[in-house]
Amino acid sequence: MGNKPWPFVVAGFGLLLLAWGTIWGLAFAPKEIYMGDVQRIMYVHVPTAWNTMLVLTFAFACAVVSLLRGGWGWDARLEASVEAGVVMSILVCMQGSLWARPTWGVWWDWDPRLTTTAVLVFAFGGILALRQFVDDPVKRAVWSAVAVVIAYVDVPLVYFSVRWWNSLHQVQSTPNTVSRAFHWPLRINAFGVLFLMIGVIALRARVAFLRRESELAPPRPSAPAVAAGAGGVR
Amino acid sequence: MSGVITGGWEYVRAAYVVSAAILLGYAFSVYWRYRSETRRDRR
Repeated sequence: MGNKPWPFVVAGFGLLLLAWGTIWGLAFAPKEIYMGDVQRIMYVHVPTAWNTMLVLTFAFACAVVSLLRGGWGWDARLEASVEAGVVMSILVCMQGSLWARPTWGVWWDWDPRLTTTAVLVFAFGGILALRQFVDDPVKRAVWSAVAVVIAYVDVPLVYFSVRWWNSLHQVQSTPNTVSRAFHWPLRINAFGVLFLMIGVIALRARVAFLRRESELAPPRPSAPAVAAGAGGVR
Repeated sequence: MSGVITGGWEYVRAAYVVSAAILLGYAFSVYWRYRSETRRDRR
């Protein structure tokens, strides 16, 4: 999988963008007319939500390629993207909860968007657990790829839930429904999270690949056996 | 009731602190695991 330093560069660039977008969103962007300052949560919640879907879509692509072509590289990318997707899904729920309390008056509601997002956490978290329980690397790769393809059904459900069912959560915003004053911090943070996650997933995939290599490597001879081999067996 | 939310900076601060903690914490945990795996691989 290589050991070039590009993931550090990409992740570092992502962090710089996030710092820039956050300062803009907190200090310079105007208040929203109804939600006031609470709307500033949008600059971190929406980019995380967009990128969660992207990361899980990448996991789905890795699963399909892994099933069709095989190869430990794709299994390593799958493991990395599923783990990052679970972390980001949990973060989206926490940010959403902190936005829901002052605007809806509750921390959580079993509305379609929130419920389908919670399902994401448990479905993909379950796949990480499955990978821990299976010792055979080949079975682990195949079973988790199949599980990712099945769990991915929930991703379009999360996206369309606000359109298909009555939901407390608002429908997706578009450039036509968001004031221009809010565009830049939102976009900068979206690219910040994207670059950070590209770097982190690439690095995490290398970790998975190195672990798989050591798992599949033949056992090293123990020290007495080496000594006996070097000195000859009497 | 005007329907306009006033205040709420504590929620905004909490959302940004939680986001920074989780994103940076996860990034560092991945870096840490990468460092220990590459060291083990060299041995």
